[in-house]
Amino acid sequence: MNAGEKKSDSILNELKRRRAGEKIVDVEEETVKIVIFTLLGDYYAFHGEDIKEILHVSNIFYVPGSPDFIPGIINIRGDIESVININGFLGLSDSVQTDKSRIVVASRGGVKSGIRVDSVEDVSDMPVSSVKPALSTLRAEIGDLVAGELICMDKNVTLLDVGKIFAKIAS
Amino acid sequence: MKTAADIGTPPAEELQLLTFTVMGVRMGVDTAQVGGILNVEEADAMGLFYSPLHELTPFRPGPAGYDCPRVLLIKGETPPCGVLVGAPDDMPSFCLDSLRSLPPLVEASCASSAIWGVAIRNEEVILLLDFDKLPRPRAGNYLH
Repeated sequence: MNAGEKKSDSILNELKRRRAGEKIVDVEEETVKIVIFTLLGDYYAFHGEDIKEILHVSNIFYVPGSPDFIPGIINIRGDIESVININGFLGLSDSVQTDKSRIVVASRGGVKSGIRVDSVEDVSDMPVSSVKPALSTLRAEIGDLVAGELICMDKNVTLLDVGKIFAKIAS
Repeated sequence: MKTAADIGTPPAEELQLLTFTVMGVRMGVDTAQVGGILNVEEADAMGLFYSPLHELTPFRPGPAGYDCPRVLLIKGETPPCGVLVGAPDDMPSFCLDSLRSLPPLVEASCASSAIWGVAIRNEEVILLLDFDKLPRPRAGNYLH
């Protein structure tokens, strides 16, 4: 204690010194938001940053000449967006529309489209480290669309890359 | 038979459509591309070449029913030819702000360039059809 220094000030200064010397080890793990959905009982996900909104399936207007994987277009508050069906790209047969069916509106690289899914199960923040590379054993045409895999809700979830899906359609 | 004069000229910055339904799909064509509206008997009496729209632009398979079919004459064609559609029901005008292009993924993958955009009226979506981009009807017709 310095001469003339009050004891309380001395203790307080010591506390501050010790506090300043403490190493901060409270590190938050980086997370990624994902939107988890199902197609014919299998679990898939998109990166949350690519998903703009989730809609109930309403009127889908068929456009003659469009391929089978585009069931039509929808009117979202005056904007017209396509709706795509990705079952075929994943080697799945067509889904049956139910009350749980949703249209996930995705946007990437200036392209925006609805994607029809059987249900949206969750929107979660997951540790980045939980996303593992896709299995190399995936069929090539599916593997091209997969960004990774993870376990969520005790389910194997395949993380799909919206940009690659859009690119495949546009090519 | 209605003539082009009956249909009239839309004001600038507006598109006047003749709307109809084909196999459940609401569509509209610029009235400036329509030379007249005939019923099937009139078209047959004239020996007109015409084809149903679903044979000129690819519709998904399904029953090819046309409600009160009419033949729309394609304006300026020699010899005259037409397109069979469901009965035209309206001639609304749309300001350009209420028209939309097709979404990019549809535009990129659609097999027909004759459908070029969308008009929105309340909740109704009307596909815009360009007669100039349709293949021309062949000899013979649909209902015979």
